[in-house]
Amino acid sequence: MLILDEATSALGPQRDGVAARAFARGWPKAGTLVIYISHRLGEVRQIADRITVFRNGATVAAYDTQDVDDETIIADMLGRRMDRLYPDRKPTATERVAVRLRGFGAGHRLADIDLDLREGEVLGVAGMQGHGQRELFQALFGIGGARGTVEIWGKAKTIRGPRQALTGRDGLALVPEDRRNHGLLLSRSVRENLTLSVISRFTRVGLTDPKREAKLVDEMIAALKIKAGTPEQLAGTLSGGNQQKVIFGKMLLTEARILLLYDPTRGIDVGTKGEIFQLMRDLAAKGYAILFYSSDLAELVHVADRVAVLRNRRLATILEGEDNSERQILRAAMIETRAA
Amino acid sequence: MNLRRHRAILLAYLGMIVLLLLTSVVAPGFLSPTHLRSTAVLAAFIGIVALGQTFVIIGGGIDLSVPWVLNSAAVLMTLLAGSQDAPLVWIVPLLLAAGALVGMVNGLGVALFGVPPIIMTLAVNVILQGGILVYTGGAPTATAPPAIQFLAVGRVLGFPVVVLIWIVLAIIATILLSKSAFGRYLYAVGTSATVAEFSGVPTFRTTVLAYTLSGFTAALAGMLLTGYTAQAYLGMGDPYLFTSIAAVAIGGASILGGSGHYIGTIAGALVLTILTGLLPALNLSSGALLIVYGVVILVTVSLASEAFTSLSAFLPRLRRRQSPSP
Repeated sequence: MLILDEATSALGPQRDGVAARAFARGWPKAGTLVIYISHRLGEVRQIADRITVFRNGATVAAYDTQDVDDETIIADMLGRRMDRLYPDRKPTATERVAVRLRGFGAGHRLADIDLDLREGEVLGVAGMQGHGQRELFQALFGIGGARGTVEIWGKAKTIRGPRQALTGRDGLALVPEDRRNHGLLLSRSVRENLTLSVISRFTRVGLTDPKREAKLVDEMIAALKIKAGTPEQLAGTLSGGNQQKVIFGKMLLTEARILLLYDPTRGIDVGTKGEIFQLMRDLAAKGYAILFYSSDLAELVHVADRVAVLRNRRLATILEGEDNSERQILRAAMIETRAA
Repeated sequence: MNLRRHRAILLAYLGMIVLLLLTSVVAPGFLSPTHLRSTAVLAAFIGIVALGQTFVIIGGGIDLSVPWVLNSAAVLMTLLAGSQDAPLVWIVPLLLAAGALVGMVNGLGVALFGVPPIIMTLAVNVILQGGILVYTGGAPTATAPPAIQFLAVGRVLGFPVVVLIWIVLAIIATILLSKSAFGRYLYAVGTSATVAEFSGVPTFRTTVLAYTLSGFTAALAGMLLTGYTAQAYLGMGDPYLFTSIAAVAIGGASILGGSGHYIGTIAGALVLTILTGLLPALNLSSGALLIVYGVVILVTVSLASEAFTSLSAFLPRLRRRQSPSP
């Protein structure tokens, strides 16, 4: 028996079909039972005799491959759910472009991205894992090299690293994917984490002013309703949701008005999720420009004004209005024949 | 400031007091002003070398080049000064700058080229050792100039000058660690270089500065120590490799970086010096002293790494609880 769990997901798009070809050549040996787990619908279709769909840890449907079409499978993957998790979405985008990307790319994982993020807009980014969204966010933040042109608030800008990205009125701030290893100093206090990016704001001749720092910290703890015993509590002892709020607070203390949120609600409780969505809309209304990736499509559909779908390291399409639905996002992200 | 965070430092002082009392029992006269004074002087040399070491270790690195930075400064000072006071006006600043420069090279190797700190500083140590051997031909050097001897063994208002120097440096180090932006950055880099980088911390400048400081304090200690021994000799820096690191570890810093304080290192330097004084009183040889040294650092560091293990066992548990699989 052979279990292949996302065995091809790390391969680049040019290796599409490598699994199917292997199976076509008679590998593995006849008589082997193969469980093939993949998010690539086309691949599953080519390989599998039967398809089972899981959602939230439970089996929702099982079919013989020839009896089912892609639409049915996508519907099964989505399920139906209604909740009041999401805030009202009033369009607040202006005509002013905060980030203009032309021919933007990074390494082998992202190419030819043309994208405009506007002031007051929450622009969603969707894509199956490993289709370029991580590279998009990191390259914008100056991690790893980038190609193409970037205009920030109308001016060409080369972003060489996080320190430069975070600096100034034309800055960009990132909520990173990996909260524990990229976002927070777990063994340091909430206070030190909150002000880590803005130490110069309360420093004179190299020395910090504890009073001015405390003021910034207290204001941010109150504004975001961070539940910490005291500002001196270690960040690692907070709940996941409150840890994420500290990262938001750190970002909001900078002058940056372009926010890059990479899966900001992952692994946090529903209540805090709702608060974060509300915060995002409030910030957008204040003129922030927000790029928002989520591994949960429903969040993109309900919070973002538009959704840019990445597939095979390129921009597949941008969905808005009626088209901004989980079904359309999944179609664009998964089905190779749907052209950009 | 919460107590839990400073427990390690308090423990270091507690250990020092216990050790002092113990010593006064087995060796009456140990608590006499004369003996305490000489203990403070010897601790000052360790403390000054360990100052830079504290910054480097808090920043997540380690500086193994201190023995020969110290030794080089000592040898070069006596050679250049030829027992005269006058040339010290340019020799002391020059050698302090040279020590800082060696530290900066260490820092650049680590921060710019990504050489592991152990390798980088060890290599620099050996290179300096070789350089000094070639330069001196192994010959003995001149005696230390009188002014330097005064700094090391003289007194002002009854206090040994070197101890006064140590106190001033300790105040500066404490302000840097507790009050300055540099100190804040240093703890951040030592806790997680990645998080620091993602947060816009100037990680490169911070790392280089910590090593630079270590080179500076090692060179300073080298010149002062020459005043104490009256002569520079090859190998005089060797004990300070171990004692500078041990003082930091005993003082409660994690050898992995991100925690600790120079206030703790002061206790660490005193503990090591008292131990050194205690063993002869017990008729133990210097070999026994080395064994005790080794055991002390092993116990201290393993206690620290035990704390680390329990923390790292704790974190994945949190992770499992908080993030359901996507």
